[in-house]
Amino acid sequence: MQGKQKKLFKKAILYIILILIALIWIIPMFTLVVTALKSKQDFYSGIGLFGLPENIAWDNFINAFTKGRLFTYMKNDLIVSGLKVPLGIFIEALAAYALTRLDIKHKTGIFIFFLIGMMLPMQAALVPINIIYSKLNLLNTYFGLFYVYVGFGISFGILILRGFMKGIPKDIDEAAYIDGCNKWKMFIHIMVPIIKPAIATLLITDFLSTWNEYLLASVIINDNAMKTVPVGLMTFVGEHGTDYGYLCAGVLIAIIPVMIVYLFFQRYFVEGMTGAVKS
Amino acid sequence: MLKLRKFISLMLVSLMLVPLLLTGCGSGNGETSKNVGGTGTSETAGKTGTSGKTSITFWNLSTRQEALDPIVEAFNAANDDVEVVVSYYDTDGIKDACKVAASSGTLPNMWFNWGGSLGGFYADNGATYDLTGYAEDNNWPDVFTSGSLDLCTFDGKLSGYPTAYNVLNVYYRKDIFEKYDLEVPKTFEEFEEVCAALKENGVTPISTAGLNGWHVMRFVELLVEYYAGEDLHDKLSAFDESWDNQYVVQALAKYQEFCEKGYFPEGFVTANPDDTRLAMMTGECAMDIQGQWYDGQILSDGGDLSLFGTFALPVGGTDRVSAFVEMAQFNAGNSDAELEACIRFMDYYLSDENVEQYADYYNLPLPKIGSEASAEYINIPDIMETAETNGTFTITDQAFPAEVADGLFNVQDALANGQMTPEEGAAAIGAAVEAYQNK
Amino acid sequence: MKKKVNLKIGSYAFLMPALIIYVSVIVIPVFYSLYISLFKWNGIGAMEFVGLSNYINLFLNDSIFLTALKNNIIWILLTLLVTMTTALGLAVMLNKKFKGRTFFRGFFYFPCVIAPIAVSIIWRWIYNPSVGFINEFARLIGLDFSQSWLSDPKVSIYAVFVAALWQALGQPMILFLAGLQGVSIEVLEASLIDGANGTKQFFLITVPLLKETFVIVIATLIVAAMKVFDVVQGLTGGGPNNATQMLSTYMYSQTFTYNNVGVGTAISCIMVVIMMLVIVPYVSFTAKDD
Repeated sequence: MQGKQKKLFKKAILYIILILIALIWIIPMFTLVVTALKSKQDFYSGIGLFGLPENIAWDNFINAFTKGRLFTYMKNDLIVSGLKVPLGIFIEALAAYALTRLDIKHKTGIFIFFLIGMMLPMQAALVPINIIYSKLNLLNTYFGLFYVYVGFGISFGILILRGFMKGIPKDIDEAAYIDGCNKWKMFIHIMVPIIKPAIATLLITDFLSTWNEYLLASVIINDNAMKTVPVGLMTFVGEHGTDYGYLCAGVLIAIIPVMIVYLFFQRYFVEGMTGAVKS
Repeated sequence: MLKLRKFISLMLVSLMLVPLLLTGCGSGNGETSKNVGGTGTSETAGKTGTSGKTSITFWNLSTRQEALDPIVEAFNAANDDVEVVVSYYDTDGIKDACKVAASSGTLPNMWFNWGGSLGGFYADNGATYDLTGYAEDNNWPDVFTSGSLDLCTFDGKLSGYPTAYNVLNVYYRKDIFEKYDLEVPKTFEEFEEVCAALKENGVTPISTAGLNGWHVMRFVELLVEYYAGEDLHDKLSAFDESWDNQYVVQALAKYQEFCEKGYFPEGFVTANPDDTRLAMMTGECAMDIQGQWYDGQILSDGGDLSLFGTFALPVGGTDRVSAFVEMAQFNAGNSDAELEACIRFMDYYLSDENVEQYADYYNLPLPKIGSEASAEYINIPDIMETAETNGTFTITDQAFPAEVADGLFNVQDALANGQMTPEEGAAAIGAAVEAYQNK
Repeated sequence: MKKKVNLKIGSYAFLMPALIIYVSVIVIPVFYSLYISLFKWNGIGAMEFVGLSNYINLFLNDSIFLTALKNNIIWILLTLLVTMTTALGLAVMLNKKFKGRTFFRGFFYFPCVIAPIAVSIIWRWIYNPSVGFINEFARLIGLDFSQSWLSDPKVSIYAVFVAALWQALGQPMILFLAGLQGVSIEVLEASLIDGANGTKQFFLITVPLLKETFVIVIATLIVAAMKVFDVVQGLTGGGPNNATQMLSTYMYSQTFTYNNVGVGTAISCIMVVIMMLVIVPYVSFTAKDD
């Protein structure tokens, strides 16, 4: 009984610590939600930034969709993210497979070469990309945006997938080759299914960063009908002042798709990263 | 297995999309970027002659979208030979977008800009169309106010179509002043007394916020005007005289004194200027230096405009106030047809009917001679009058190049936090000017 | 012989898509930046070749650059000392089996998904000296102080760091969680039998087994710490008086606000070089077993 009591006690401590941290953690979230529910009048009436409003300002949410055109932006962002993420992961998987399994010289060197992409500050890429795209007529096209996003995602994607693939014993390869598989078949039929967790992990992270990407989207896409969510949210910011309730409502709505993706794939999340870090 | 098939099909779909998207289409893309020296289909589409429509791209602030979208639609419907396409950006985004576009030669046919060093950058580097000749031919001095035309002129060349002329005054809470028996100050000493009285009664005298420096600067520049006088102030702004002088020191010392006396809100140094009106609405502060757009802002926030009044800060001389313009700049590479179309649109955009219908989305009154704001904006006539009678000087963050302005803002921060003495501050500003000139 | 050649060409084909896209999107801008950093250019006008003087000026004459560099180093140290340990601590706790574990995992990861602009706004309100949460709460429990968190140059960088910590903690936490899955239960139980109690076990068994995790987390955290931009720009804009100026915010100012494009790109190049100095050894180290 002693042991069990100790265990219970430890568990209780665990819960207490977690809940305490969670309480602190939740304060900013609470602010966000509470503000989204306030109308302009409430906000300026002096009930304080953390006070609850008298009437819930549903208008903020309605306006975010109508005046703020949030639905269009979310639709656009879904198109961009939804196509870019699987395509990017596929390309990264191909490369990671080559770097771990195939007969290529200077594998580590090439890998380091790929890692530089993680370090480049995005602002540095704005002007050259703009110049190149304007010459190629790719400005204001989703293809242009995909291309740049895939390019910027390659570093991290290869980092993770390569790590996971390295963790898979080479015996499986040998068995497959004996069975008559060629490289491509090996990749599709064996490797890809095995690294499903890593792919799911990347799906979440990549979707997140693509969904929330602001800088490149704001420079490449000028057409309002094609804007993505982060760029669109900036239109909620006023010239001399911002309607915070409206903005917070927009932010909250924009979070929803991301949370759905996260909640759906997060069961893989933990398993997925294991391979990468065990490399 | 399912995943594999998914991947392959996704790949194939994406590959098929490539040629589709390569032709530059998105949803409803009418964008033609003006390639100064570029090639491609965009050039031909932008010109008239045989192809018919002149397509014009216009970059503006997203805060104007509610009005601009219907206006553009009406214009396009009424003008068969022109098609205007607008892209919207937020206030910081448009600066970045224009810079990137300028560097890559993809500026639109026309874009929104502020005056001073912001708009001047494009003018000085030949990116804007020189409208001087056009203005003469079309009698612009009779249409636009001289103040606005002056501020849109850089190096003798008129570089923009004035769309707004903003004047700053001190907005104050009439009821709070009344409550403590305070009168609108007529001299600087009276102003200081008012501040002291407010502070005594638990009201923070001046609402300001120091993030990115320009709001605090609105007060500091008035101090410079007071201590240095009009002439010297103008010379200082033009870098004809060094900022490292005793008058600047006095101005900075007074600013530091105000900081120490708590005449500004607590922690104002990194507060967001967009939020200064929160304190004004709740009565925590009694004064705020703002432009005439503030009337519209207060009304749209659901405030009671009758509680607010304005006055020009008594800084000596003629009590000058600071002013700045907004304009539409035109691409230097515009063809004649494009330019004509641009101006036709701008005239329509700022026509009386449109202004009346969408009044909230303009900074009224327009910089046109005889233009007025609607009656509900009770303070605007007074403010505009101060510009006429007292005279104006260009607001400092537009008079200065950005580097020097940041130097000034750093000094403002440092003085507020007691990190610098006024003497050091003046020297630092002088050094920033010198560094810029020696670049 | 033919088969071997085919094999090789086929192998490179796997690499090609990534390589092509990567070179055109990343490598070209890198070289472009290097090229531009050797010039004095305002973005539109003529370019004036100045060789390495942008770099020399930055290190010798530019006190703001040096402040930014110092701030980034402080930020990196804070990230490693605070973010990493907190993430590890949370991961350890969330690795234990208990009800609601999944909820808590998602909960702490949640701030990662919020748009950066919202993070800045929320935390500015929390730090507001008069009506902000922290000071209000302090007053509520009787403490009578009014610290101005963001405006005080002594405190501001730490205040901004806390906001960044809140937002970014989820990512390394998940990485550690994953790494902990790899610490097999058998090994832990064996160590218990050998007499290792909780803390001993953690430091002597678990931590060494997390070696690779630490390396990945450290690398990604350092890169993120060098590039930190949004939260600083939103909360303080680099102020007050450069107390929170970072290399990325300074680079932004130089390039887009002051129109010193050559100087701005020089700063980016310096940032990349510093990061490479950390990353390359890391990669070589982990790739040792190739």
